[in-house]
Amino acid sequence: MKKLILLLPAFLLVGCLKSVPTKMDFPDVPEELKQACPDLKQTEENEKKLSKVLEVIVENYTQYHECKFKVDTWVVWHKQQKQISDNIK
Amino acid sequence: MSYFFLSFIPAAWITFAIHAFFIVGVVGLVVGGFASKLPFISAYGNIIKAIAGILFVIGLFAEGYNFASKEWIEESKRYAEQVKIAEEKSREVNTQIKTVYVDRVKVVKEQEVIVKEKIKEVEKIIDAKCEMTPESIQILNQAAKTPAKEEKK
Repeated sequence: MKKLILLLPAFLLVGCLKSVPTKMDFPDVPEELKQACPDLKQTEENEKKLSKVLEVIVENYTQYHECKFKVDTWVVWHKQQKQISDNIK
Repeated sequence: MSYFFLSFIPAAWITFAIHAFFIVGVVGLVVGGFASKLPFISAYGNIIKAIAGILFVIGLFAEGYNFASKEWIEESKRYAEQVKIAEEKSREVNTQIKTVYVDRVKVVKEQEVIVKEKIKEVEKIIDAKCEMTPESIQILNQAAKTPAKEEKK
């Protein structure tokens, strides 16, 4: 009988086992951010006109700005989503 | 209640049964303990005490489990509610982020068009004073090319 009583705390501790089955789904990312940045454009090797070369340079600058915004947006996305996730207690 | 295997029985009945087990266990232990001291019925007293001891242990365990289950379910509900709010916030943030990104890209594209138009306007002046050599194009292309890691042979 005394041995049975000694087992009581163990039994009661089993009753106190806790786990939370609910979990937050990994937040989705806007489709625009999922696309990888393309390579920079190349100029035709036999191109003689500086204006045409400038156009390619301008296109590449635009490409850089787009990719920069994409990275910046990813940073903001991560920061905000982490903050939301951390607020769940 | 989280007694999934007993879900066909109303929760109040299960709680009642748990209380009954516990009370019968306690009463049985007292009565059995008292009866085991009496000379003629001491054997019956010991049997009652043994059965009551088992009922007491089961009853006490079930009381603890029942109490913890209620608390656990409440906490689980509260957590699920928070997750729901967080997911809603997450969707809102995504919409805001997408809008800002699309607007910024649109501005960049517009800027590209404006600059290209300016090049068109002064195209003849630019091309008249400078001719590109293949070497300069090669250098420019080399700079624009994404560097790839050399594979070991």
